[in-house]
Amino acid sequence: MVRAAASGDRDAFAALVRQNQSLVFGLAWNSLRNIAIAEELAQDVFLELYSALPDLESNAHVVNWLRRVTLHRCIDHVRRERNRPKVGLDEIAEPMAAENGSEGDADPFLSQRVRVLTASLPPRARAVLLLRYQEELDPPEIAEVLRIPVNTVKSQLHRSLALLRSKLQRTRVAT
Amino acid sequence: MTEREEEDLLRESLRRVQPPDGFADRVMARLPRQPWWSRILLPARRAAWAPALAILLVAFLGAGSWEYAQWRDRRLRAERAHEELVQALEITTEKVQETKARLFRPRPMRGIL
Amino acid sequence: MKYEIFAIATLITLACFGQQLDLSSLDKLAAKAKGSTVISLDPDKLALASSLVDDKDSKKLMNGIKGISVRSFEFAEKGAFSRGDLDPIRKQLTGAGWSRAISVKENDEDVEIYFYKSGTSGGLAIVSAEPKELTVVNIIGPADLSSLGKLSGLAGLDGVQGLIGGGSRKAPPAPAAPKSGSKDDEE
Repeated sequence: MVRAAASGDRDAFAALVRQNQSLVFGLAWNSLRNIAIAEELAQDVFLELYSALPDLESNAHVVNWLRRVTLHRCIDHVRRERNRPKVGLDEIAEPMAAENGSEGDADPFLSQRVRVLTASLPPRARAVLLLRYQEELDPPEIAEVLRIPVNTVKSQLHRSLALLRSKLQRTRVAT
Repeated sequence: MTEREEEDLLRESLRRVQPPDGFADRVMARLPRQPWWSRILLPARRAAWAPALAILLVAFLGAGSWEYAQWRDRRLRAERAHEELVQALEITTEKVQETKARLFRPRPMRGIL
Repeated sequence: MKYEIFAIATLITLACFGQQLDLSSLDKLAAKAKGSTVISLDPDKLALASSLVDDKDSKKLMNGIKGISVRSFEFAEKGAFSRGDLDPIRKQLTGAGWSRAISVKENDEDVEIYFYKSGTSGGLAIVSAEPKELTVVNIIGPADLSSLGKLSGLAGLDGVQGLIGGGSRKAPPAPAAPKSGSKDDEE
């Protein structure tokens, strides 16, 4: 499918988009917490993929490429906008929450807190956490996607989890 | 919460999310129109003369590709340096913020008596 | 060979600047750490990093930074390092131009922030020791330290302006170092 799409087969490219749209949109949405911006960013990533396809050999390459480019775009967006959501008990409203991943949560309130807190992490720490828990990658795989040392990944994960843990703990005490 | 429960919570909360309906169609609508020559060249991939043309093009582009490789190498080094810079600033900011939190934490009033 | 001579000359030049700390004595701790971050950005690497920055103000700020070094180690157990491991660093921080601006000691956790000022040269050092984590940061330049606060915006984070100064909130005067045995000090 990758080769067909690379040689201009638009149906093949559309199938690639459908196959990977939840990965790309998921990373963007979990990073940025704004549906419109997440969709625009996700669309831009696929448009860039269309140009980059000739350099990609397999589906695995495509998936890694999508992860890398999506997260770098999210990181760049956050740095440009300097718009990290503030952590607090007043939640950011989630439009279309039911259609965007919160159905089926065992504890929707707690899950939403986790998402908001994740989106408030520094951009790169956020990227590491999403690759670990959305994409279920190991630290060496995360290091390869983000092109950073494995030890950096491990220490980022450790710090982020400690921070989330303490903030979730405060939430439980407050409620 | 056990570590296992914590991991499960994170996986559940941060799982992949489908975009709004029609996303793929919107992407396809934004793709550039296929240039007219692609209708000639794409079938040409299967033509006998295509490999010879490819070799000529590679020879012609050879010089340009060396410069591109140099540019790409510099770009990769710049990206790594940029990542390290950001990480250094993140660590610095984290330590300063922790210090601020400790300095400005409300202290219990000491009793007069 | 030419490159090696250039690299050594660069290091010697940098070492002549008092605001550049030698953190190599900490490198042995990496073997004991479960996670370590070692960053050494010299002027060349900073120039490369700056080439990716679009914002003109940030680029200008980055031109004022001559070097950044970070050593950060996380350990699985307490006691993996001793306070004595920081002595070579602290000794350098008693040199001319350095002054300790902030010292916070709480339970087993110490954080000290030092500033360097000599003529138009500036620098910053942070020494943070927790039971399972040791972090030292050294930034050479900018001469105007409030620029550091603005630069942290490059990382998309809240600035350090409130603490270092130059931001919208005035930094409080540096507290006196607490007397030994007392946890809290009133301002």
